[in-house]
Amino acid sequence: MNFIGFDNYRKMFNDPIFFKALFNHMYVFVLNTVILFILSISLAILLSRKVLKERNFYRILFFFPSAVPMIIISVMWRSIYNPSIGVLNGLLGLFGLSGKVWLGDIDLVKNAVIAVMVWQALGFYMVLFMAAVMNIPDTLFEAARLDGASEIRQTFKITIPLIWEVVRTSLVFFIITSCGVGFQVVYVLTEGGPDRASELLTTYMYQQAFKLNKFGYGATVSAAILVVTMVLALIILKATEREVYEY
Amino acid sequence: MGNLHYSFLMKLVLRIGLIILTLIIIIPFLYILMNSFKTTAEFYADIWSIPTKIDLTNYSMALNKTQLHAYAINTVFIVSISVFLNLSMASMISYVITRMGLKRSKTLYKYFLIGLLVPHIIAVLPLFMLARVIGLYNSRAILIIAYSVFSLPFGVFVLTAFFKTLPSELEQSAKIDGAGYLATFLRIILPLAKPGLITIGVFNFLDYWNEYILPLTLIVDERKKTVSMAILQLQVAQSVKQEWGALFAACIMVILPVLVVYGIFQRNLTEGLTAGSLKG
Repeated sequence: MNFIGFDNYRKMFNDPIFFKALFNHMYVFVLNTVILFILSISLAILLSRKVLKERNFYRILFFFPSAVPMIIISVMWRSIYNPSIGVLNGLLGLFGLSGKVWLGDIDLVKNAVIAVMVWQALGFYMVLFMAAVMNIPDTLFEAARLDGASEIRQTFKITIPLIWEVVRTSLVFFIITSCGVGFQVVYVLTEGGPDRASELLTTYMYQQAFKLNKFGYGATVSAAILVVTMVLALIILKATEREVYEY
Repeated sequence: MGNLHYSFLMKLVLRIGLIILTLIIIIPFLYILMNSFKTTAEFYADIWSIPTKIDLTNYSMALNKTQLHAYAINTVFIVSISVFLNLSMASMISYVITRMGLKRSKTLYKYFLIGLLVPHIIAVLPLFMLARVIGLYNSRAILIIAYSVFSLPFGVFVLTAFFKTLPSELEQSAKIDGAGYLATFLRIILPLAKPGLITIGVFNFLDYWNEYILPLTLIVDERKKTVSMAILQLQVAQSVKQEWGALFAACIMVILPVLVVYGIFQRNLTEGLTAGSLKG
């Protein structure tokens, strides 16, 4: 082993593909996080209210994808996105819409990857937030109702502030775990293609290190992944900082 | 939250939304289940058709082509040892952190927590290098070590939170009865921690059974690979020959154990998720 100082870092900062992967990485993770958390928090709040008798059914069902092997989820969605035999184009056809080459289209492929990631994690975070919402004492809502606060007002003034700390913890946890999930989805779905439109930092690292045997450069990209993840986590923690309410 | 008086219309809108979501969750599974029973010709004729008869050719093809059962046995072996090792280590470490009164127990706890902040995927490359240096590359041992150690932070996190809630009188009375640290730990603490251990165990089982980055990078020998790698192999074959049947059949067979475990332990998963991990 010989040390080459910062050569790999110099190479990385002059590598257009690295920057493309960095951009895709940020795009996928930011959009995925925003969509996933808005959806799962809204679902959790809706299902936590005892209006629907069958809510336990939804809880069990929506959680299931997060227990399924990533490889199977990726294979499943690869067939769903398939232009000729896929369910998605089939469904669009039923409504008279023309199908698309979901994974072969530079503009669509990243969103296709995000859809799979949201689909996979939605139930997990929904269940997490449902438990947090149901931990809030009923008396708070009763008091609010007596004071004439509407449902929506209760949601924004009581529910969301009181689950906020759980949401923040989950955000950081999600940013860290979804690195691996992103890799496992893209590796099967597209291998980073077409024309590296869905290349993430993780898949780029894998390609450099394990396909091209450039272990040094792979390690440099690994370091970049760590930095990007930590920076994202810090930004999220700072941006979501609120006064903590206790009950 | 209390019972709310929703209007009939609101409930209807809510239900329709949830049913659409249910379909989005279920359809992918139904799709591969349905098409795993069809011949290639039948499949290409109409992906929506319900299979006319339960044809198991795809299943036997998947088993013969990849020796999926051999992968499954190997995976069960690796997963069960990893789960056992992880639970033993996590419970002992958590016990030491909460109960031994060490000066640096807070530091020790933080040391393990840092592990929660590192994306596992960046550890893959160093692990690969390390495995080659210590001669464990392409061995089941490296998978077992990596799995059981990678999920230690989670286990320690949940179990220390749990041990803290146990009253210390239990151990004091055990001490008076003449039980040492080990006996107290094995006979008193562990049985009490059973719900937590089951939750962590099930989470880990699913994690190890589902994960494929480590076998992808650390194992070359087919006999030592896990079920996910068998699927990957079929998926590569599929992209060459455009035959989806065997791939779908293999997917169904790999999901089955997950479905069984999920069915039995679903409560431990969804409730354990919050019991220890968030209110710690």
